[in-house]
Amino acid sequence: MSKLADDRRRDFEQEALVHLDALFGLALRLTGGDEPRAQDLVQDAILKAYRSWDRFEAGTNCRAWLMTILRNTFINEFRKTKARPVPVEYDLVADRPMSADLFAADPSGKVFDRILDGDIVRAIQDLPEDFRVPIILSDLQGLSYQEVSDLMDIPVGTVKSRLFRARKRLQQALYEYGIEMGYIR
Amino acid sequence: MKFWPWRRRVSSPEAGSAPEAAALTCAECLEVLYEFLDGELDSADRARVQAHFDLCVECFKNLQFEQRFLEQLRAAATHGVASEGLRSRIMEVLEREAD
Repeated sequence: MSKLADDRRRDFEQEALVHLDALFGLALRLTGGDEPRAQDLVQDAILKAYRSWDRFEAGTNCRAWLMTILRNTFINEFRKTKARPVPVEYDLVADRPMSADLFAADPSGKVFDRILDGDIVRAIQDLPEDFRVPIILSDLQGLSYQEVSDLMDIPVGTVKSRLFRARKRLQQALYEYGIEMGYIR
Repeated sequence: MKFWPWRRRVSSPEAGSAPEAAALTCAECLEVLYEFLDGELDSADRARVQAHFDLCVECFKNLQFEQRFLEQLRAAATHGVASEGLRSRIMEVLEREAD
C-alpha cells in the first residue's frame, strides 16, 4: 500500500470507524432488529463512505455524514422493495384500537418514564416497515416531513398519516405493556 | 402550501376580525398536535395553536401527554453495539478495498 493510501485508510479508521456502534444502532432500528441485514447495511454504508472519503470535508460532522450514507443506502433498498404492492395488513393499522385508553388511564403520561428503552425499541421493531421507517427518520433522526417524503418517495400527507398511525400504535403497545407490568391499573 | 381547516373560516368576510385573532376548536387543535410538536407549523399557525393550548386545559393535557411520549421515544436507545464479528468484517472489506 502506498503512503498516501495508508494515510487515507488510517484517517478513515480514526474518523469514521469510531461511529460503528451508532451506525449499527441505526441499521438495527431501520431493519426492525434484523441483525444480519443490519450488518450488511453497515458494511455497504462503510464501503460507500470509504470510496467517497476524499469528498468528506475534514472538521465537519463525520457521524452525520455516515448516518446519511447509511440512511440513503437503506432507503434505496427500501424503494426497490416497495415497487411491490403494499400488503393489505398495513391498512389494518388504522383500524386498530388507538391510545385513548392510555391517555384515559394515565393522562400525564407517567408510564412512559417507567417503560424501558428496550421495550420502546422492541415496539418500534414490531411496526410494519412502512410505519417504522418514518418514525425512525422523523423521531430518531430528526428529519422534517418534507425530508422523509423526499427520501421515501411518498407524499408529505402520507408521511404525516403514517407517523400518526405509527405513534398511536406504539402507544397502544406501551399501554398493553404497562398493564402487563402493573404500571397501569 | 399546507391546508389547514381553520383558514377557511378566517378568510370568510363575515369573520370580521384579523386572521390572527381566530380561535381554534379543540378538534382543529388536536388535529395538528403532532405537526405542532414536530415543528412543522409556520409561525402564524404555531402561535394560533399555542394560544389554544394556553387557554384549554384538556388540550394542554393532551399536549403534555404526547410531548412526554415523543421525548421518551426519541430518548430510546439509538445506539447498538457492533459485534467484534462485524468489526472484523469491516476491516477485511477495507483491506480488500485498499489493495
